[in-house]
Amino acid sequence: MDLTITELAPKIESGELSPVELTRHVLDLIEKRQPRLNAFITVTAEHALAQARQAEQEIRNGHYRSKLHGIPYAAKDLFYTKGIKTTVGSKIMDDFVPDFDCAVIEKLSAAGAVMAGKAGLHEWAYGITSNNPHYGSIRNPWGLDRIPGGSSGGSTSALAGGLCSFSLGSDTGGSIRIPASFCGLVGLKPTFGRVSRYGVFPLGHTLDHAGPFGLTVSDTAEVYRAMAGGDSRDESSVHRPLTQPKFAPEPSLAGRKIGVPQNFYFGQLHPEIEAGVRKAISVLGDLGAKLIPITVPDIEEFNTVARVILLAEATSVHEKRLRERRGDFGADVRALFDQGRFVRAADYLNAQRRRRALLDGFNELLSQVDAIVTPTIPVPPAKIGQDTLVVAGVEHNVRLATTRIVRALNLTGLPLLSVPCGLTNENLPIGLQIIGGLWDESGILEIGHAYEQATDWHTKHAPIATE
Amino acid sequence: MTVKQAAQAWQFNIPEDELDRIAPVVEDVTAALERVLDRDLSTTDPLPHFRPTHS
Repeated sequence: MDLTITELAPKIESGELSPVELTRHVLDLIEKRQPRLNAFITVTAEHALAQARQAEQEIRNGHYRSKLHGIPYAAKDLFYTKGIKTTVGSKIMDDFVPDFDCAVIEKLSAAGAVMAGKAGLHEWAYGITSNNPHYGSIRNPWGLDRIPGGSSGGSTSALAGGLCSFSLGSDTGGSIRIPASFCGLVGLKPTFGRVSRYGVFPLGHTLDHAGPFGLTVSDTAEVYRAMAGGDSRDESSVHRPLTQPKFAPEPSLAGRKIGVPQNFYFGQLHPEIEAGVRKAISVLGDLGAKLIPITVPDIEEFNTVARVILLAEATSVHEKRLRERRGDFGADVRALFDQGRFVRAADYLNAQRRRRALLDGFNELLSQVDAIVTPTIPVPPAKIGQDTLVVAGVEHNVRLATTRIVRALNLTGLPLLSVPCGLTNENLPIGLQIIGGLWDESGILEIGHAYEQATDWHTKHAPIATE
Repeated sequence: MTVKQAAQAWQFNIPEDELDRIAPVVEDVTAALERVLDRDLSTTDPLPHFRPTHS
């Protein structure tokens, strides 16, 4: 069954497809594939069936809420869900049951969506492999011996594995874009402040964003629309009108200016990824976009700045737990939290002061172009347990190589979209990252949609999803 | 002060083997930041607003 929202919503609205039957179908697939993918920490079958029954009743009574009504989804297990365990991928919170829904879950419930389960993640959302010592390694549907990326790896494993129609993630240093790219999905990190983080367990207070994953750009836009909006309970969120993306039936980018960086982003790339991304950029040109060479600020510098800020902020969230339950942390995240204890207050503040320069640099570029395109990740997904990989004859640490392109951009708060744009010779997905101006989610979604219309990468599915 | 001295002074209670592994990483990151700030941070650079997208 085609699980895209675009395909399912009209059938649900017309009564042709029962939300209860759809939910049962998805729960059956989860039962079959979960042992191989390990995408979920908690499958919320009873909750999902109750929501589906309510949706069916409401639609039958003429109360169709939105295109998400009756649509099944997975939420990363750091979105607080009332009465449903929320572990944040940790042992320490393995029995934590929130007594309220986070803002995003409230909004999706109001839209009528059906939550099928809580998806696994890298412990505390602090890592890119989703190899979780407490809940097991999450597997990439495109290659079961590969990482799905992280930290939102369960959300993309579930979606690319055909176990839901959309999913939710969070992105502090790439945790939406990395797993989207590795699992051949669309992932949107909205502008900082666009989506409420009320009830989303934090990692880095000034870097965290919540956002959606979809099978297509239009599906992702639909979920984003439902999630977005200011919230007085989250001081960092902003009440600001939402512009709707205009998706033309015929793909065209005529009149758009797209910046193509000449420095940093195309260095140290896996050759098949470079070829895939350059081909994608040429498609944007064929669609009428004017491709403009640009020079971006010193991203390596800002990767350092972002790293220091995240080390300090993440440790500020966890230091008490680290003192009291040190042995209950996985070794990799414990090492990161320990590193954060050594960041001096003056260094943290000076890193924050330096941060402004990156945003100013990108704002200047984005006053000359409508968007900037780069690869999402410079390397293909590593094998589970692999610590290093070789690109162009040089050995790299998997974590640093994977985050190299995505990390610094979280400093800017700019909206970022990853769309699938190819497959490597080993049949592993490649992603194209589209960087937009502040609050211009519509612009990057429109560019992503036009690209998607002109290509067929979004129609390729992971082997397990077609069983 | 070295990383190990700091860990002791601040009573972090990090086991010796774990401290051995993270010490070089902490030193690298600190040195990299120091280079960045020495080169590029101006006295007049302000602290950004809590919401970096507001300005």
